[in-house]
Amino acid sequence: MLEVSRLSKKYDSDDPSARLTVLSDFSLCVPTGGFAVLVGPSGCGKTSFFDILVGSASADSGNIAWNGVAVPNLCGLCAYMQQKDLLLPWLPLFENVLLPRRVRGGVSRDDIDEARALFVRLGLKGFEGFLPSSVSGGMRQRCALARTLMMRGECVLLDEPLSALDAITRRSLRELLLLLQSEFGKTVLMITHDVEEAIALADDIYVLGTQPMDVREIIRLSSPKPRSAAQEGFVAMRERILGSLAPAGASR
Amino acid sequence: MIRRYGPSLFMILLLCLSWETAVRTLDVPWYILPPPSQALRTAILRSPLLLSHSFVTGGEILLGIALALALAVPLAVAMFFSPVLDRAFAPFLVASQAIPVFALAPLLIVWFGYGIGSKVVMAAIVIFFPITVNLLQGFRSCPQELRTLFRLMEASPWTMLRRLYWPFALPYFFSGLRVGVSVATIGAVIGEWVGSQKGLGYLMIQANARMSVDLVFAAILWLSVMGLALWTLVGRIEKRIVRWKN
Repeated sequence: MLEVSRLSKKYDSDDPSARLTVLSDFSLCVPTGGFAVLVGPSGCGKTSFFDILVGSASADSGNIAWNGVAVPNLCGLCAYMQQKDLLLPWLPLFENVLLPRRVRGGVSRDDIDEARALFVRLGLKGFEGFLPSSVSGGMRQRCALARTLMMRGECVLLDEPLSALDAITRRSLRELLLLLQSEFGKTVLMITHDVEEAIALADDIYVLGTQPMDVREIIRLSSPKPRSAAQEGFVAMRERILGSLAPAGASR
Repeated sequence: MIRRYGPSLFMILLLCLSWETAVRTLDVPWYILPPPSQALRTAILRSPLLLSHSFVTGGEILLGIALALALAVPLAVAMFFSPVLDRAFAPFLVASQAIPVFALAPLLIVWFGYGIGSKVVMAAIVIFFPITVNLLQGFRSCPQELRTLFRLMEASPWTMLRRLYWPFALPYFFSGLRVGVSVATIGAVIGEWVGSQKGLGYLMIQANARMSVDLVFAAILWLSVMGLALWTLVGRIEKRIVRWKN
């Protein structure tokens, strides 16, 4: 279980107009094996929040706890996938996927079998020896997903992982993201500004307000996944979330 | 092939042709400016002599490159990982470029003797700077997101250097090395001018004193060929190693 309680972060400056409170007493809780999605307008502080979670920035106050144990950040506990695929351009796809194991000291026969199975599962079979530059964006992102799955750690942070892709590729990858939860049992926390994506994937949607980032509404969804716009209630839910996001005025 | 090298070959031919014509029609004495055909003739006819001196100069350059690499790579790594070392060495790095190698040549001869040592050091000084600066630049250009990814995988600094920073900086390293080897000849030849008993620089000084300008030109020709060969060699190695950039 990932618990974040009363996290605050301020950017101080001598210039009063540049002072910015990004987070103020922000709390959330993702149960083990859950899929939580943060939806908010751009610039609401989602990225600063993730920076704190991965240890690229530190919070002024507040706590992060993993399975009840307080931790400074999620280094070594979580895998991380971004809008950019972050594949190493000099390594073939297969080696990119094996990277988390290489970094941790070596690759065993089992690791190779595991990676092979992932290539099959994610539709990458036959592309093991290709360099990232010679495959499509969707394929690179699948490879990034495979690498994310090779990172040990039960928690996965997804920072707008599909936003750089075209609509068609995005749809097919959405279902693959669900595998993180359904097949691999990961606890997932995702940021997105795509409301439909949030409804399609989430157990819990945190609708965020901006500056400082706060939770306007938490929506629990229990219908089976993946959900599509054709399903009953989907459009109404979308309108509800968009409505909840809207009153910020200046930001929209 | 022709499309690639044609334009530069054409320019060289055009230059030689106008030079040849000018010298012959204006009746310039050959001991002042020989026509290129004469320089080429000398370069071929005296090739055993030139070759033996080229070996010396070539050896100095190669050893200079090796010495420069042995110093530049660890220094760039140290400066990248330690802000204190970065601040400590940065002024020296700039100074090593601000002081012309010509000014150091006589001192280096005093310290390292008339033999190959002083020339190797001289060549190394010239090559060292572009390699260090470029490599450092390459390390620093590594995107923050990739560093975060490695941090999340709990990579040690050594692993990050080996698996992330070094491969990422390789294209920068090679462009530095290419600049380095193309100016390395300058360092070696200046060293030979100031004091030596062998090498193409020594041969040039000797030939100049005897008014054998054609031999001077022949030596310059050999030097250019050596520089070009080194440059091409580094380019080839780069292409093999940094395949993902092409």
